[in-house]
Amino acid sequence: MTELIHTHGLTVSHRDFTLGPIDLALPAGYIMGLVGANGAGKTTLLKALLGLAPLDGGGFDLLGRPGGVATTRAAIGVVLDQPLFGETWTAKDIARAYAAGYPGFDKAGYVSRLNRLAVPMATRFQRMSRGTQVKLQLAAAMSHGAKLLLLDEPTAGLDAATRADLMGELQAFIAAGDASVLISTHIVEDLEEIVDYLAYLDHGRLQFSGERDVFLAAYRQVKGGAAALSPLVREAAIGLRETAVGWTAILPVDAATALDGVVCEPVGLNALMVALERGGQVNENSVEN
Amino acid sequence: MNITISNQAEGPIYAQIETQIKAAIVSGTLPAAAQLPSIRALARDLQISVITTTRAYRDLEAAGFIDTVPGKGAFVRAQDPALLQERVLTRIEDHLQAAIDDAALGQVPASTLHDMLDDLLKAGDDHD
Repeated sequence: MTELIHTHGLTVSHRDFTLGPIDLALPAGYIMGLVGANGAGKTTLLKALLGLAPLDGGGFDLLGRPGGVATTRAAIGVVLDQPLFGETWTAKDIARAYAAGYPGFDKAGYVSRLNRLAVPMATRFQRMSRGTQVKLQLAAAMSHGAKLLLLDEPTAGLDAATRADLMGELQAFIAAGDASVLISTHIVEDLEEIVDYLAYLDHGRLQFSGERDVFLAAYRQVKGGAAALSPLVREAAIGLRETAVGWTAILPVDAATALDGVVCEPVGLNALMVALERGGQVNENSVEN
Repeated sequence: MNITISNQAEGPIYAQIETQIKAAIVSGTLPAAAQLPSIRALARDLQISVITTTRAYRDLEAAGFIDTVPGKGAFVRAQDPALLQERVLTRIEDHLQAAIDDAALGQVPASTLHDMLDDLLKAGDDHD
């Protein structure tokens, strides 16, 4: 399987924050969600992949070529917090510039995407609502023949309907099986259904990288009464919540299935992320990549 | 062919897809050699991940319901009627055994079980 992103020991050191070492791989034709709290290092990782942050260790390949070797700009579509074009540009201006700058610019596809997303052709970028701005940036990023989209928190601050529209566009983008998306977000609900792969960053460390289902299958949501809350369970529990009528926690699957007299259910991605962020440790013994 | 999945804890999504496709094949709604939606088209339509639909199709192929042809797609495999019947009988046996086990737990005698079965069958006939 072709890998469009492959990092090995990727490290970026700042004075008070270190990202890495990061080992992750994204095969062609899939969507990977890069999740983690604010400050976990998601933007730093994306910048490193784009050559905007120098590495202090390790390396990476993009689209099969070592990072640092110029991959054609056209092959990678990017949406960062700042737009890649002028604030006063319209969708039409972008089309003109891209037609001149990218040999593979797909004008028809660009326009049809804009129509589908209800983005006006003649409005200046700075006059658009944030949701429309993001739709325009995404449409532009998908229009120049890119096989890899790198998106840094595109859905932050957008309403649910807009976020759903964007997720639909991402699924269309990977539909042929030869293109992939790496999208960072801390709004996990967006990814819960459509994401194939997950990379979970916590304080600069990659706590998990692999199939989303593998990640979820390593845990269970467990609910029980006081009698079931042994010291062992307390130790293994992630996001333990005790109430007057019992307790609930996420447990590694082996610990969960060993318990009697408790309710044991699959865990949703959002619930798992909340629990881990609240101070649980990813149990490396339960999670196999 | 229609596939409807539920996010509300009716079992993993890949299993729901498998169950519905199997049912459609067994009932004849999906005849032999019929083409299924591609893995990616199905993922888009159901708004789920590609890995989920891939798993469903892989399981269906391993269980002998479909064939996937690289570059062409997924097709319903002609089902052996004897084998299908065999499967149905096994499922009925499993259900009956579960009822028998429950009856033993509740100390319900065999005669009552027989009566219950007859009543249910009769009620089923009345509905038709």
